[in-house]
Amino acid sequence: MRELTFAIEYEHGADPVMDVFIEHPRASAHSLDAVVDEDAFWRMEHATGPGAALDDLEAVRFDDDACGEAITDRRCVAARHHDVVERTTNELVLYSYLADICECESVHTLAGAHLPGGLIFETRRRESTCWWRVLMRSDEKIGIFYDELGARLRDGLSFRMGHLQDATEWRRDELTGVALPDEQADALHAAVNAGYYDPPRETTLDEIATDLEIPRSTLSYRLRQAESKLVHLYVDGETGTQWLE
Amino acid sequence: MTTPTTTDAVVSVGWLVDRLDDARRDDPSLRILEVDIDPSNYDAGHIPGASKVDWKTDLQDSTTFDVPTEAAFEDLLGGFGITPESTVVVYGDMRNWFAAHAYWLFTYYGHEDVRLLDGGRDFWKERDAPLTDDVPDFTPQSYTVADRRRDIRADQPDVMASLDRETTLVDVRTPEEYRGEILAPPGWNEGVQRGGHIPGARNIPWNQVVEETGCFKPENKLREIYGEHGIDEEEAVITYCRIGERSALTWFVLHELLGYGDVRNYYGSWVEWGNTVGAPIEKGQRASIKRESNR
Repeated sequence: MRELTFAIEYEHGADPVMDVFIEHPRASAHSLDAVVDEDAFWRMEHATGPGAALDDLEAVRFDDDACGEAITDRRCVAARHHDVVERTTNELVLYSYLADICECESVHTLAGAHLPGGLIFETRRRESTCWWRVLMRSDEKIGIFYDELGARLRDGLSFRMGHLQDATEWRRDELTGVALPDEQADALHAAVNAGYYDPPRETTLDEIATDLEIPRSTLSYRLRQAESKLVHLYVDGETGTQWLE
Repeated sequence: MTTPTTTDAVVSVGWLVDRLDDARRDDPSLRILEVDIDPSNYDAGHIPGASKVDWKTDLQDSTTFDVPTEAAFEDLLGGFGITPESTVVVYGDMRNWFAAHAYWLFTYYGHEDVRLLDGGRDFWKERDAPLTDDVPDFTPQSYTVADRRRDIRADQPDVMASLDRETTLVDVRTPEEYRGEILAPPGWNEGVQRGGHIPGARNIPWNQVVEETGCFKPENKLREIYGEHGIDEEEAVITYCRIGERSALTWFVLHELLGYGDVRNYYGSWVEWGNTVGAPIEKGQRASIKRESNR
């Protein structure tokens, strides 16, 4: 499996979807997409951020006159299907399926035209940048894809290269993949099971420490270490796109 | 304007549709060649009477890393049933990028009547013009190269000499390649040791000369694009890209459509320049351009 990563930078006003992220710097979105064929693709998009940003994103995605796919001057003519799978105050999960796409070019259509079938895409949008990760069986014609992409970008959009290499990892939900040392994981599990993290607290550190037969200070240290890692992963991991560069 | 006019250099879809019967006849007066960056496109359907040209094997010599030899070019054209008197229409994918290179090569080898189909393969398809999967089989002809047009080609010494003269270099690569941010474009086996551009070169990407449809922009718009960079028909110009193909499209616009008298395509382009010991390079944006944009 090969992967190509690249970013497209957007000026404000150049793209209705990216404008949402530019106008709401705390919003971000992560999607998994697949090209069905040259003229169709689907996307599961998970956006987080302030409610107003999610409202704006939802409105733009459902607006047939606002194309957030095209990278050229022509908006996509397509049969668009969208569905809100999940919506809370700070999360939006949106399913999109575009079929019979014509008269425009997007990353999906160019990839569908030049790269082998069975493509998977990941995107990460934040502020003015949309990072793409394209996973493919073969990169035989990636040069053509790259040249055509570069040639098609309309004014206000610019290209930044990431890398082309073997795909060696599957970045699932960041927190799911977190690995803690055993003693920290044991401490955390014991604390959660005892209701320590359920307000109002149903137990105390002393009680948990007694059950685990360790000093209170040791338990406290292990929990703080685990909490620090999880919190940093949550806050920093959201913005981390360095691995794509 | 998306309905192009037909000239000595460029023909419209309608012009060619009206002549498809001629192109399918064994009579060599009109021949059509498809030159794609992705040669497999031809197999998925092509203009009736069109023959397939593979740029990697037909339009370059992999041993000398240069244009095909005169003998190879003669064999190629003769094999397609082309004579020195034939009208040859070339077209291709990616908005005629490689077709324009073929046009330049035909001109370089002195072929009198070669033309580019405006909009190329994609526009032909968009207009629902006829396609076929029949591969033509024309009687081979004898082809002899009469003359080489050395005045439309620049080599490294020419470019080096131009650095001290009133010659404008036009770099048609993407801004990222021009600024040296992308050293090795993915998927192209054209390793270059250094990123950047030839000192003084203007960055006018090749795609700026075509519409979304792939057709050339109208003449006044084209003059405007180059005029903004201070390039007029009095100017001596050398165009270059990565391997001299994309720059052939810009050469075509300046030399064939706008009639600029002194335009040369740097065949070795950045692959040669970037790998040459001692050849000066610039990175980033030119200071003078930066100053202009800050005003």
